[in-house]
Amino acid sequence: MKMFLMGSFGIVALASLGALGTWKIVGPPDRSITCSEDLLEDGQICLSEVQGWDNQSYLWVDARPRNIWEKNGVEGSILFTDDVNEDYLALEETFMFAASREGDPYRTIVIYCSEEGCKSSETIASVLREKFAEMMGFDVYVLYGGWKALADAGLVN
Amino acid sequence: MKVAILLIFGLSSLINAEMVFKTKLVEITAKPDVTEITVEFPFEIMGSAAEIIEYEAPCTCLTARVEPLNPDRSTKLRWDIGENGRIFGRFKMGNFKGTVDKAIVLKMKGVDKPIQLVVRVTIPILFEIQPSTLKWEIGETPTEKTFKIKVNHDQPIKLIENSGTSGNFPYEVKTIREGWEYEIKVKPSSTEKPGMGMIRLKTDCAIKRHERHQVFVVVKKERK
Repeated sequence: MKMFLMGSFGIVALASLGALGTWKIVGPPDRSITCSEDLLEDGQICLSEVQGWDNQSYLWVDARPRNIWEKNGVEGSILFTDDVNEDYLALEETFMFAASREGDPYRTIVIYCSEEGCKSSETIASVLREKFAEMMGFDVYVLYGGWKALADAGLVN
Repeated sequence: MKVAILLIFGLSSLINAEMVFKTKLVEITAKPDVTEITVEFPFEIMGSAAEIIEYEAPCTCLTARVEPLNPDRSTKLRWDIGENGRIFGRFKMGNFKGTVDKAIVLKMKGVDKPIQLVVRVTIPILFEIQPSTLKWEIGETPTEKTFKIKVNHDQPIKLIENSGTSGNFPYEVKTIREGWEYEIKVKPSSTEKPGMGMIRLKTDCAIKRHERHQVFVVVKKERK
C-alpha cells in the first residue's frame, strides 16, 4: 500500500513539474479560437472562409447588446439583436435596408455574438433564414467562435 | 496514510468535477400574453465534488441563479458528492415571436468545456403574414403580388392602420374576413430601377408584442 501511495505521489509530482515547466517555457495554453469543418454545426462558418470572400459580398451582423456593439463591433456591421430592450421592428427595418443595398442585396449575411453559448446569433440567423433569405437571395451563417474569433484575428479591439 | 489517500482523491476530484443534469434542454410553449417565464434545471453531484467558477446568461433577456443558496444567502458554488440543486432561469419575452433558444453557461473548475443549459421558448405567432417580403427582379413585368394574413388566436385581431414608405409600391388592403383574414395586394409602378419599400401595419391586438407588424417589398437585381 505504502509503495502504491509513494508511486502515485511520484507520478502526480512529476506530471505537475512537467506541466509547470511547459507553462514556463511555452507560456499559457492557447485559448484562441480554432475552427475546422468538423467542428461546425449546421449554419456555422469559419472566419478563415469568410476572409476569403470579396468583402463587398457579405454583411456582418452583430447580435450582441447595443452598448457592446457600439464599443467594439466589427467595422461596417449592423446591429440585429434579440435584446429585450430593443424595438425589434426598428432593428429589422435597419437590417433590411442595409442588406438589400438599394436592390443589390448582399450574397451572404454573417452573424456573430459574444461567444459560444450566446445563442442570439442562432436566433437571429433562424429569423433571417425563415423570413427573408429566400426572397432576398442571401445565405445566412453564424460565425464560429463569435466575436472572440474576430478579436483573435485582429479585426476588432 | 489517511491524509495521503484524501490528497490523492482530492486531486482527482478537481480533475473530474461532475454536475449531472436531468436535462440540459427545457422546451416551453408560452401563452401569447405572457411576458416572463421561469425554468429550472435540477442537478445532482455525482462521482466527485464540483465547483462553479462562473455562471452567466449571455442574453439580457435571461437571468440565472444557483439554488439553494448558502445559509448566509450567498451563492453556493462548491457542491459535494450526493448534493442536489437547481439552476433557475428567468426569461423575459421581449418582442420576439416564433422559436427562440437561449442558454445559461456554467464554467466548472477543472473542466474545459462549459456546460450549456438551453431554454427553447416558442412564442405563438398570432398575426401571421406570408410571405414577409415580395420581390420583383429588375425588368420583370410589374405584376400584382399578395401578402396573405391569417389570425391564429381565439379572438379576432383587426387591422386598423397601414402606411407605405415608397410611392413605387402602391398597395391595397383587402378584408377577407374582418379580424381573421386579410390580403395586401402590391403592384409596383415600375421595375426598371432597383428599390425597396415597407408597409407598416397596426392592429387592435391588446398584447403589445402582436400589435405592430411590417412587410417589405423590393425590386432587385437578378442574381447571376
